[in-house]
Amino acid sequence: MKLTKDDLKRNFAEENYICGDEITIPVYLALQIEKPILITGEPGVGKTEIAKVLSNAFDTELIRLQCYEGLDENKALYEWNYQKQLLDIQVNKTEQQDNNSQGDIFSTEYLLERPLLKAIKSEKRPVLLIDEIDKTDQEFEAFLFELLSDFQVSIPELGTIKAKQRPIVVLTSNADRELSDGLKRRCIFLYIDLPSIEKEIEIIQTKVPGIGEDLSQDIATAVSYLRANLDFKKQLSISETLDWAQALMSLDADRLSPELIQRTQALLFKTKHDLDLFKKVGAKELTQKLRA
Amino acid sequence: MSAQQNVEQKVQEMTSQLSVNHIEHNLIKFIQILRNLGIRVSLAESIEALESLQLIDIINKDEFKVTLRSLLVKNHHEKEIFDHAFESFFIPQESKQQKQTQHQKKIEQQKATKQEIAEELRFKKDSVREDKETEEIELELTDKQKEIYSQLEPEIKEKIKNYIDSSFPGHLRHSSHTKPALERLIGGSLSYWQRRLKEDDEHKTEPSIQHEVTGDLEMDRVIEDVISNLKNDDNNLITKDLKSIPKEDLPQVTMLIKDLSYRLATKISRRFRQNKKIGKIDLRKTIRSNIKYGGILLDLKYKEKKIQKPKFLLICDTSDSMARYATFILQFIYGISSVVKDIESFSFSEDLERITNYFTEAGSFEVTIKEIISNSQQWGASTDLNTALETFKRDYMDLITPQTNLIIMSDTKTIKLYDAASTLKEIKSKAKDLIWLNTLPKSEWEDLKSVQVFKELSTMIECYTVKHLKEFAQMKFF
Repeated sequence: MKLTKDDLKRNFAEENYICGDEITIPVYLALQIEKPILITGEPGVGKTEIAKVLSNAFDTELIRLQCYEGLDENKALYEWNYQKQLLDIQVNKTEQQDNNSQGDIFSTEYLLERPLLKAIKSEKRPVLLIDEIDKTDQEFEAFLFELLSDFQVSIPELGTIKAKQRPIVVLTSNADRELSDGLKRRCIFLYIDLPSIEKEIEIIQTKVPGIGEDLSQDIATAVSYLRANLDFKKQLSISETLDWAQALMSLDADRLSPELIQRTQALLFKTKHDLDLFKKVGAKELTQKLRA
Repeated sequence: MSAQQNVEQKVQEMTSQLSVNHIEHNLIKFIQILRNLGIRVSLAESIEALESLQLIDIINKDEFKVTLRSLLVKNHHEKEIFDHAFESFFIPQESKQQKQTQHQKKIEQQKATKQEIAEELRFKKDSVREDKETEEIELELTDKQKEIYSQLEPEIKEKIKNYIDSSFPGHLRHSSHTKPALERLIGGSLSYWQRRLKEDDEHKTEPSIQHEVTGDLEMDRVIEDVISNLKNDDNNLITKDLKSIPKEDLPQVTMLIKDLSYRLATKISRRFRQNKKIGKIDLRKTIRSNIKYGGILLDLKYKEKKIQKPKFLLICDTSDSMARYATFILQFIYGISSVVKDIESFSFSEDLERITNYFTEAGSFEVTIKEIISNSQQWGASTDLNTALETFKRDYMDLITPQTNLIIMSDTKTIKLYDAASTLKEIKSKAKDLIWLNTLPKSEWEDLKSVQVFKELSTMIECYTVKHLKEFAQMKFF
């Protein structure tokens, strides 16, 4: 799976992921030195999307582990299929078979593979997405160390299982809490910032085909103005910009107007606080700022 | 191969070797700068960074920067420091030279000022030897103390000088204890003026990074550049002293604190809702639910791990010097009190007041805080922690259980220091933990006896910026 920087840039472009060197270089390094990549940034800036792009680009499976408080090894790595084991013992008993077969109840047949084990046992180098790692407990983070540094896991009954192919590991974090030094040290760090106006125009035009140049410029400028001047509880992300653009397109808009903004504002502001804050500026004033 | 080709090849080899060494040397220096600025870079990471440079086009500055950043930086805050350091360190040779010369001049100027100060602050001691009438002894003050002295008005300087001249008259001048005693007195006076200067300068921010002088001209220049750039950044509200935040920035800080308490509240409530961790098998439940399978234990039931909710008791100093901090801290407590029910709050200055009820009534924060201030007898008075703690011991001791995290927010300055410490020790023995949020910068802790006394009794945390509050919110007991 050797590739050059230009190949990777082309892959990102083909997958309609608009980005510059600040994103492609860390991803390229992670692929080359086979280290996990830890992506942080505001929600909705395209952290998870990178894993999807990589999976499509390499035509490989995307294995996703969604993290949450209380996630443990049984949900993330493996679990013995207890019911199957028990039923097999019962069946063997009733059929009065000899007890030899019972020694095999701790074989792969009874193993329920969870995302991490699946990624390690995969024949083709998969993309392993560990999403929102900051939502887990610190003990789970420590458990991940063995996996992330050696790409192997230990199952007491079966021994150590080494990865056939080192998975491409993508970890994402919304920085809800500070991650441990041990985890950060094992990863390449990538912070995705909100895009510039020019880049956001490009993203809108790529993701919302058929949108007019004027409208995409209006949208990107308005969003950028709102981000810079108002302290929203939920910062406007790229995904919200795209939803807004889509909605405006379906209303046949070719430029932003106060009426259109008012009709579609629910797509941008997700809390009452944010909506009230926007009302202080008002749709009319926002349109005036765009024309200034 | 001709002789000339041979020479050319040798030269090429040497230059390439030189350039590799040059990059290595620069990278090591740059990593040392980052370490001095508080970014922890391990040896393994340094080696990896150097090796990774072979994978990229190092002539391309942006590519070079992004590569180093992705390998050496671990969070958003470090990214900002890294960016400033990179732009200040990796500059053309001519600009580097120019900046170095400027920095050198600045250092020489500082040296000259220090020398002048040392000359000014001399203590005239009568000599015991008959051939000499008096000898002048230089007072050994720290660089920080000399810096404070240099910032003082001429009349204040004059006062200090006169004080030195008139101190320890007569036979006391011959004592060997005179010099250290005088140094302590002047040190104390300068600490007082340091606080006064800080109070006068409303917008002054403490540098968020503490560093030591390395002695390397280039490294010191870059470190100073980064610190001054970080200070000038617009988004440094989180590292600004809460007391000196200008009025126009107050809503923004309020917003930051609200966001912080909102996040913390979500974190706490989620922890208690989603406890899906598997604990020990619950035999009674398992047998009961497996009767339908003829007693074969197919469906296992687990005992849920019982996590006790954190219990907090906050005692907040609302004396004159602390009132501004108290508003922010109470706002933070107000935010999490919606989730953590067992939160008791008290305010104190000359005596103690219970303010828990204000928070349990569902009013907006603005209304709540207005009510507290207007009804309080204690807001803005002087500080007597001992009386407050005695009142607590007498009337509210039953609120303390072995699960209670006792949090005190104060600058430690109080009358009857030792009495307060012994009462606190008694209260602490009944609680789980005692956390002291100190609004004084760590750099001032050493000079204050009160800090030393209370530090022995508690886990003391520096807490005068939003950043400190954030760190406090990330503590394990939440």
